[in-house]
Amino acid sequence: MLAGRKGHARVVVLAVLEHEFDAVRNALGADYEVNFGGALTATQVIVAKPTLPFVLIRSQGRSLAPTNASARKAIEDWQPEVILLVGIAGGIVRATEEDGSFTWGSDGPLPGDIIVSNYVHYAEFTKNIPSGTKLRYFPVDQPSSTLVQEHADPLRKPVANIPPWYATIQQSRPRSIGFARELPEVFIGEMIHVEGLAGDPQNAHQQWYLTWFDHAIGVDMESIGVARALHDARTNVHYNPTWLCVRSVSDLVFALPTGIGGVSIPNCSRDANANKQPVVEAGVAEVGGDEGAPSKDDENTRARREWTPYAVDALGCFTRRIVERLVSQPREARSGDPGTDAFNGWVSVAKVSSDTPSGQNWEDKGEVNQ
Amino acid sequence: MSDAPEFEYEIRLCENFEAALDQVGEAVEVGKLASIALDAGRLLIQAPGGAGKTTTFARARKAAAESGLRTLEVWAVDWVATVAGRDFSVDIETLDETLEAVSRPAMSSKSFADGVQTVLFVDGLNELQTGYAGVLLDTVDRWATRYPQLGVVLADRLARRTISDSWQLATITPVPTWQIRELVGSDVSESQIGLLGNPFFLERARLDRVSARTHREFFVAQLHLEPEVLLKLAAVVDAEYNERADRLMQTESLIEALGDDVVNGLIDAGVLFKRNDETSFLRHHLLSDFLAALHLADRPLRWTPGDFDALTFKAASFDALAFLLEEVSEENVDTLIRRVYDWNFYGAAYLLAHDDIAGGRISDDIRTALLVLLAERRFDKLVTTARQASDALALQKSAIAESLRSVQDVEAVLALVRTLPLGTSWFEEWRALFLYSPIKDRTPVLEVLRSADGILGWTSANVLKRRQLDDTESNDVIALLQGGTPTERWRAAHVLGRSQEPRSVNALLSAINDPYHWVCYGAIRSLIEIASLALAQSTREEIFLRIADMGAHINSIPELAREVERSLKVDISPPSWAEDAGLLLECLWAASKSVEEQDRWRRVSADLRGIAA
Repeated sequence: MLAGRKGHARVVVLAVLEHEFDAVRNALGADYEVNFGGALTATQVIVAKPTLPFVLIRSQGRSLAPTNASARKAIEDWQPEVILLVGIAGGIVRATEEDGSFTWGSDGPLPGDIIVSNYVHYAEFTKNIPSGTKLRYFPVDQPSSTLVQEHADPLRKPVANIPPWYATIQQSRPRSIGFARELPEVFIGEMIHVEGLAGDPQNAHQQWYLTWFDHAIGVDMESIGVARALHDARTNVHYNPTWLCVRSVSDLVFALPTGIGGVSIPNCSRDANANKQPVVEAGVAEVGGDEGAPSKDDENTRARREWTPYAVDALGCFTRRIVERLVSQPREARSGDPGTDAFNGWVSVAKVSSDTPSGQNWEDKGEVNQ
Repeated sequence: MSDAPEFEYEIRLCENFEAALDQVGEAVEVGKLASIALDAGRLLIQAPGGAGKTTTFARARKAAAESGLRTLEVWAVDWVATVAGRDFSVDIETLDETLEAVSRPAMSSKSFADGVQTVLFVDGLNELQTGYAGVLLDTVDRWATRYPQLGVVLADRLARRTISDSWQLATITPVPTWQIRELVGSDVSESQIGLLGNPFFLERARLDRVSARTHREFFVAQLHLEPEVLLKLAAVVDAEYNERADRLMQTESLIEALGDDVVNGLIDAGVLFKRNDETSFLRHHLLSDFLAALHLADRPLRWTPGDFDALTFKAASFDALAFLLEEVSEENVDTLIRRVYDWNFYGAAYLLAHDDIAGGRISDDIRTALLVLLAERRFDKLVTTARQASDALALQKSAIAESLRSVQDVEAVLALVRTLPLGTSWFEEWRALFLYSPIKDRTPVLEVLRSADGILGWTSANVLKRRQLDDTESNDVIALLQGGTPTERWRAAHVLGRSQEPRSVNALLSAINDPYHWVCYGAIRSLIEIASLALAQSTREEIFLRIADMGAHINSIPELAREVERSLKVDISPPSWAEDAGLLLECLWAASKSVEEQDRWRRVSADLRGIAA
């Protein structure tokens, strides 16, 4: 029987920053503290004791070490089937080159979109070593491809019988140009774990790893901490925890085209009149050509500030949908484990749809949150 | 001989290490310890040697077994010795692999996954070198994480360990005065109350009031050896401490020194135990410590840093120092304190605290000077040093210690020293030095830096560090760092911690390779301190990059790596401190040979960037 020091929760949702935690907490209705231990769950699910469908906990801090410690503690305390790491992250915009000029890609994740990782890379502590970049490796568990396929992939496209996950987003979607999509999308792809993002988008080390991991679509600071904790938890055949990494994009990281110097980073936020322009405009300009314009740090900060409230709201809504899906199926009994029932006692998805503050249903996608 | 009574000391759960020092916390029954360990996963009981940890363990284990829990126990010394005896390095993997060989009953860590609630008792953490104790704590922490049905209880001395918030701390209070009087008589003196609050000594006193007056009498009464044989045994223990840094003794050496009959007699008396690997050990580590101290007591020429390192397992346990203090003749007490201070600041502070309750042999002048120096260290730039000084000062009972605990800055310490009553000529010499003002005074501070008197020598080092050195003084200090005796080099390295001159930095960088390890540590500390005080970021970057050039060397010496880790936490750091230090940390990370080493530097980096908060 799965039992941690504090009990058993099928899903542990691990959030990092306070506003991420708050958004996910609201979305999950997690207003009940379990045994004064800091873990929250929804009042409705308490009926499911001794197995809780989910608990929400907050990481001790950002970066690998504190997240690893929090994930280890979560496993020790709750012996979950699944750890769901949730938070905001940077989406990677890549340039493509043709005949000496390049175009910024517009088909990847943009602010307000969701990234679900199917693979995580570790890229940090490599920039200051005199002998050149070095990578170090340790064993980790990658996100479960089964979970990605069964629970994240179906949310990419709306279906007829269930409202889309974004139907409950309450925040207004920012109008910044540069991000022309009108509805958030779900992307599945590789994530790069770094120990910190450079304020300067052209930072050489940052550009190095964006180039090296050329298929990555997002950058975060916590995923490897969880991946390693999961691997360390594998001590016997009776416990097989898995995990998912869910990220909401709050800002962008630009991967400069290899070998082309003097490239400017597109501004993340522009005036509303530019609304009709392409998602991210193509262009070649000399660095420094934007003299007098706000610095890249300022641009990034402004874009992040503008998009973060929407991004965390989207994160909460997507997390809620994933958790609902994860606990809606029973865990079959097997030797040494009596299994658990499915939990469907939450507010139903249909009710959530009709209770949406805007009163819209998922078919009104063109108007949602505008 | 009557059965030992149940001593009425309390076990208290403590929220943090400060609470353990102050013995503040909720009292719990011994029978509850197993369930507390199972709830938290890890329970660390920290108390002085002889405070009753082993007895508490025995009772807790019995209670746990009676309540249906599976229990096993390990003696930490045995565990580490078994790993080392197989020529393995002592790390998490090797400790994990050898658990089955040393646990009673024999059990592999893999068994912890079978779902049976299990409590593992690990005694003797206080008998290990600091580095080994850290690895052992990491090992059981990993098990506690992996196996929620496992609870671990460990016995340790009162030492601030690097552990996570997941650990539950506890301490053991002294035996209450009423029980001491009940057991040994109402005529027991106040100074004896302090000594007899420790159950180990109280029990000896209960059995034999005559031998209750000193530690020497306690131990001699247990061993039942003729004086000359006792000294031979002490010599064997001393040799083991020195040559093998171990409380385990080669049985063959014992027989050679004492003869078969004596060795067998000690075994029959339950004082000596033989292990399977041709080594033996005395029934309590305090016995070993006493004998090692006894051997050094009338050999002042051996009161050297190397001998103190051996006696205390590199400053991991100061019990033996306390016995040494009790064993030296009256006229040598202050000499011993000066020598200990010259070797380890905190060792001297421990002796002060011990002397408060067990004798009052240290002169008031020395006591006052040491307490003042301790108080000055509370305001050290390096946070770990300041915290250790505060911990050490918290253990002192005297009125002046109380006053020094409440001062707010170094200026207030100086002001307090000015108000102290007139003392002996030595004290006045020390006071003049401590209050040295370059404008008014003609004290030859640099000459005193080389003093054989450890207190004067280090006071001079602190005074020189407080102010800007002129060119001549810088030259002299650097020359001392390059050509002085080991202790002089160490003091010189300390002085240069406030210098901003490139030649000082160059000299300190060279000193990282000094043959005397304390000079290496001092050089690292001073370099990091210089970086923390540098106004230009480029200076900080240069210093860190140059230290980074020695990354492989630093990682190869665990104590040196630890010193880097400790020193990087500075009070009021420059805004770019984490980024600057990152230049060094990433090189240390890249030079790491194991994932655990890499993790160490990741943790340090995360701490500095404040992202773990």
